[in-house]
Amino acid sequence: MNNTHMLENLARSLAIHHIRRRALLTAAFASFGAAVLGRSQIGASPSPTRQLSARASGAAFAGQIRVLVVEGFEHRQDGVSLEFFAARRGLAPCEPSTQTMIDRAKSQAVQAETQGVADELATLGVPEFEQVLEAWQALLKT
Amino acid sequence: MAEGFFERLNESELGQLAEFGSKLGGTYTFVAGIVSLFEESDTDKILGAIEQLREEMQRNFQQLGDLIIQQTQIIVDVDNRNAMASALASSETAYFQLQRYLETNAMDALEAAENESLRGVGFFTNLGGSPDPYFVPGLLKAGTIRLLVIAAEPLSFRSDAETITAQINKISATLRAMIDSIQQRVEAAHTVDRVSHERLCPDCNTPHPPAGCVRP
Repeated sequence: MNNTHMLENLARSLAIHHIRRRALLTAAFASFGAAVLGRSQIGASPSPTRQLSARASGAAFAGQIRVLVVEGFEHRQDGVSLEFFAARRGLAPCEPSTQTMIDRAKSQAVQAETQGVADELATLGVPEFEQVLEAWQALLKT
Repeated sequence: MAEGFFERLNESELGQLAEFGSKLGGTYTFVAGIVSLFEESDTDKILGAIEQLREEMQRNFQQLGDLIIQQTQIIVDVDNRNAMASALASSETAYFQLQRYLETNAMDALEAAENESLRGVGFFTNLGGSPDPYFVPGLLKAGTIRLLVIAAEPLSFRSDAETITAQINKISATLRAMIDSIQQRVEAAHTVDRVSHERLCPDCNTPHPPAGCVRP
């Protein structure tokens, strides 16, 4: 083996080492990113009706894709969670929810929100205030 | 009923106010059914209404106002709170003077009732275009007393129909604005939020797709 051949082998080894190192770094970075992104994103979208289904949002690295997983919908009051409606009960972590599951969970959350508003208004006496207002206005017609 | 909502109320020991709020206004509605602003009213019926109103007046309006503050997240300054207390004191004076007039026919009592009831309700109607809903209970009380005073006045003493109509319209508009404010704030406080996250999953679009893979 002459010097030229030895140098070529050395350069190839270094290149392979470099590629492996890059791959390891990329994988580590991707794992870190997944860990960060893995946290729940609550109300991240101004319109919760968008991006309802699990979908790929670009390749992470070879053999893997980044998927948006919709866990469900929450009815909140002043940012405090009152009720949660799951959209993917019994599914594997990467198994996407069906549109039916998502629609049902959202519908339940909207229904809870409507009921929550009505309950709160009733607690504050708003229906009675409305009655008084109607009665006062009716006085003008007497 | 939204279970979580009541859990929150109970935690802050405000659940007891739910019944209070829902009962408020019974007499105020009833009063409007027995008096006339443009014809001579039945004195006995007004005395009966005053008797019923006594219970409403003894309720703790401050507590209901505080509940409205909490649920609508408004801030009412101390000056306005004190001014409301003063206005309601005027309305209560009007209430007692009205009762004295109905029982004794003393015109000085009627004049005092007229002036004090105007002063009482005037605080609320002069709160501006966006009055804080905190003042709803007080406005109900002051407005009702003002209506009773008008209804009890002999036609010869009473202001003309146009003036009375303008007064009632102003009181009604103030109440309407407060109710709308409560509704808007309560509706804005309730939201539906999507809970989601991103996850790295095995891709199906590979020569040998792994189990549980996801198609892009």
